[in-house]
Amino acid sequence: MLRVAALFFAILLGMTACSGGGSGGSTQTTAEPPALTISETEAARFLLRATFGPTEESIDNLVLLGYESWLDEQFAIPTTLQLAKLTATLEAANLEANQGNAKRLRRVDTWWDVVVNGEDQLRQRVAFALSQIFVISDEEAALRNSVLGIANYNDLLAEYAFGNYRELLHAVTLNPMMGDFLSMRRNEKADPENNISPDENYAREVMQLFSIGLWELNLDGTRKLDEDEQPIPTFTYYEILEFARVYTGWNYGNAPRLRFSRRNAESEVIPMTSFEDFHDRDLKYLLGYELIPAGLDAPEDMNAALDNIFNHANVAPFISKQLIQHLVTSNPSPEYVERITTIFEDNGSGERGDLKRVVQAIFLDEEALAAEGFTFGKLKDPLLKVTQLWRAFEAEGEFGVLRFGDSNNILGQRPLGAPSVFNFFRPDYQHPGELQNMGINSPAFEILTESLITTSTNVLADFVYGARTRTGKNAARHPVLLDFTDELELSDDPEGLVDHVNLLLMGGLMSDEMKAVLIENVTETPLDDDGTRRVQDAVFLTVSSPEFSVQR
Amino acid sequence: MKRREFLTRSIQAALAGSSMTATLGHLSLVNAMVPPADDYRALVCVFLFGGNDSYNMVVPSGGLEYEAYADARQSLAVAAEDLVSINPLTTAGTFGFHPSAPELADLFNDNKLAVAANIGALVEPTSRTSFENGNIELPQQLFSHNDQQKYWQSLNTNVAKPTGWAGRMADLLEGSNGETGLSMNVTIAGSNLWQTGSATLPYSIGAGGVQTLKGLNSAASGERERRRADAFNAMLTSSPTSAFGQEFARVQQRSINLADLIADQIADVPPLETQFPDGNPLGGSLSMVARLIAAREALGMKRQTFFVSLGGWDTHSDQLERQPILISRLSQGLHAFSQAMEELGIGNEVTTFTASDFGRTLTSNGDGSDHGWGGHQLIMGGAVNGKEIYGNMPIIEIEGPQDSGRGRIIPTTAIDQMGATLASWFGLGASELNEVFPNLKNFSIQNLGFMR
Repeated sequence: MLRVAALFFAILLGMTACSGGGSGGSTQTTAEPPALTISETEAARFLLRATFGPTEESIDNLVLLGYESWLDEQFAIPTTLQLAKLTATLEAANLEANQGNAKRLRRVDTWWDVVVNGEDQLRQRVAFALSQIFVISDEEAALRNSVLGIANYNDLLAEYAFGNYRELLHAVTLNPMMGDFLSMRRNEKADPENNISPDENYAREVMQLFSIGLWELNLDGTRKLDEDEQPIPTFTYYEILEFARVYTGWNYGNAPRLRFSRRNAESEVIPMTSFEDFHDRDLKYLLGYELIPAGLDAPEDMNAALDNIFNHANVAPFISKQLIQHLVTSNPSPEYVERITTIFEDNGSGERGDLKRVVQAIFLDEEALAAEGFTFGKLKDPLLKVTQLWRAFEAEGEFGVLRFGDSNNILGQRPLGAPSVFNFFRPDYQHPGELQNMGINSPAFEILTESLITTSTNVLADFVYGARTRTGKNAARHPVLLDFTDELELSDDPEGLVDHVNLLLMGGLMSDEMKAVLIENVTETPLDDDGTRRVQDAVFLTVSSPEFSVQR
Repeated sequence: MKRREFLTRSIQAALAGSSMTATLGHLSLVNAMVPPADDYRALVCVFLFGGNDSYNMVVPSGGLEYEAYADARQSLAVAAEDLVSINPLTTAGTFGFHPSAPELADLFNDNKLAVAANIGALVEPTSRTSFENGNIELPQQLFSHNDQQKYWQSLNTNVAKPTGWAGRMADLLEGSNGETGLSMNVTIAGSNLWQTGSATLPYSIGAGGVQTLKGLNSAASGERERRRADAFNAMLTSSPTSAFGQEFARVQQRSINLADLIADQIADVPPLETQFPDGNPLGGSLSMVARLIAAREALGMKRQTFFVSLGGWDTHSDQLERQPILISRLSQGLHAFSQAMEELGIGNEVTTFTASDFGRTLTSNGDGSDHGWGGHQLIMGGAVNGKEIYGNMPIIEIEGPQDSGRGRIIPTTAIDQMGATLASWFGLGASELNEVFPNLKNFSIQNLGFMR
């Protein structure tokens, strides 16, 4: 249905709407109206951040609800679980035990299906951000065949996306995939006779990457400096040695003993369990020289250690700033960070780490809504360019499956498939050249190389033009068909077509110069077919443009 | 462990060996910034992401030294009888390579490969005492992966705009190359700091080669494609609305500018007889480097660096299963590349070396090792004074004089020293070396002698 018709229909139903594309003037309301203060373009722009891409329907819905009610609606939608879908898919596919690659493809299919078609858009978008902070990856040999475990880990992130950070940290720590990825599983207390010390891997990365980072931070996310103007490390390797002893004595939740490695489907998805004989029960010094006494069992030690980390002053700025960077802008002002940090520290009811309030505040912050300036926003994650395209035009994959299983080779990014626990790119990466000269972070530029930018543009062309790429049920990619029904109706109206594409794909942010280029292209394309050529070219040129590459 | 005896044995091979002549030798290169017409040199960095446990790659095999090694490493130790023997020309003691590296041992014994021992991130000479007293300057965030990767590549990360040492070399040498616009620094492994200078960015090529844009040829026969290409190009040059969009356009433009040229030149290179190992990601990357080197004249290149990588070395667990596979990939990949360079007749003009985040703890964590500090690196090529170990083999002893804790061995030779030795061969003069290697001045030996 065309947008105009949809709005007309909405008005008939007694709801209110502002004039399409207007700048937010509200109109009169009837009995119990939602406050109508946002325009379609504002709505589309908001959805570029808060979802995997605007659709005509979601723009209408947000216009009708307003930001706050829309967020509340999204908060209430239950998680679309990947694990259940994947389990069903694998049963139906009936693959052999040795078809690991085919199973991995189906794990990734499930991700695409959920983020493109799931109703819980906000939750999945936040989970996607969390998956790039609390990283696990099936590039790691130990996780290569753990497709159920990885799907379940994504579900965990989605479930806790609106929960409490401390509980998320606990769940992540005891997740068997994390146990395998950062080798906490089967970590044993020291055996001095054989020169064996506890594994330091999780002890380091949980602090360096999942909670406090390496440098002491102010509330506004900037680094604290000592009297010599030098940054201050949050911990030394002596603390690592202590924490390494905390995380001893854990194995799969259904393992009969610690030194046992066989596993089944259940092992991948249930929390790990502790084996006290292998846990170091001596006293330990944690951050800030906090002492946890001797004699505690593994879960008690774990809780004490995670509390110790959770209460470190860095957690709020470290996590808040990264969430802002993943969702809204790579370079939030210190004031923006501090406003979010304050809410992370206390949600108003005395709760620390309330992620729902943090997420809400990130999206409703004045800086996010104003979205001003030449350096505001971020280079899009390449995966998000594809989800946007597929959502906007209701993509259908061959065999009914949206599949893009080799996106790491094409886009430099694959869901839960980063090269290491350091994710695809770092939040403080500054692309050398102009961006670094401006002193601004540009995280996704770390994977925007000369080779990947071109393979990405080419694959977007394949999707828009419906290329018949090599296919088969176990092919890495399926051809997709995009539904251009609404756009074809506008193909005899170049300006209308470009305006429509601008709203749907770019939140109305297309520059006049770019609009003129597109309108000229559409106008000069002879209308001697049903309009497909005009529409395809307009859409392809949009998604391959420099302006589309930025979320503003 | 008889520490004194071991210390005596591990005197600096650099001094015992050919370093002096090598040092004198490259005095002639000072100020030779514009190479003659037939002159070509390339440096290939093979970065082993994750931190290679290189104390299991090069192992002392003599009685006492092996005992000390086995004692420290316990269940992680490589069995003495499995080591592939190498025979250094002058370094005292006997040594072996990991059993998965027979090709590397062949290269070593053939004079084409050298070992730089116990290299690592140092600002100034560091002992256990000075480390523990804290009265020396240390690189920031030792033992952290990304910080140490950056340090290896930069040697000066504590600045607002860090650059890499190959980037700084390129800033000085870029004039050596032709005018195609192709950077001196080419990466097959994506963005990296090593090749980024103040005025130099690495050019990124996939292991599969260069892709050109589909359906966007502004000289196409079809009107529709020409129209589309014109619109696409117009958007690349239109007034930017965002700093990020502007930079995106720059990258896309750079990709377009060179793609056709490089694709054509690579296509014109006759296929190499050398077979690169299948299913080996390093082999695939090095094969692309070989093709680019084969096209060097057509591309007008006199000085080049290449960055390739092999990941997976962060062996906190299952090290005994995982590391052999990685070492085997490294060994077979380097061997094939060496053959390819000889096939192209430029074995003496291409030098390949390894780098890695850090070494690893000598002590086990049960079934793996943790983040360490110093480690061994390999240098390969016809211009290498091979069959030798340079620097000092470490004292393998837990809580020994070089242990900073758990067998995180304090490096005895700085990355700056190894880098400067390579850069000197590459064509940098003495003053340039100090510019490119900021810590070099803190070390008395500025050339390790492993290059002719």
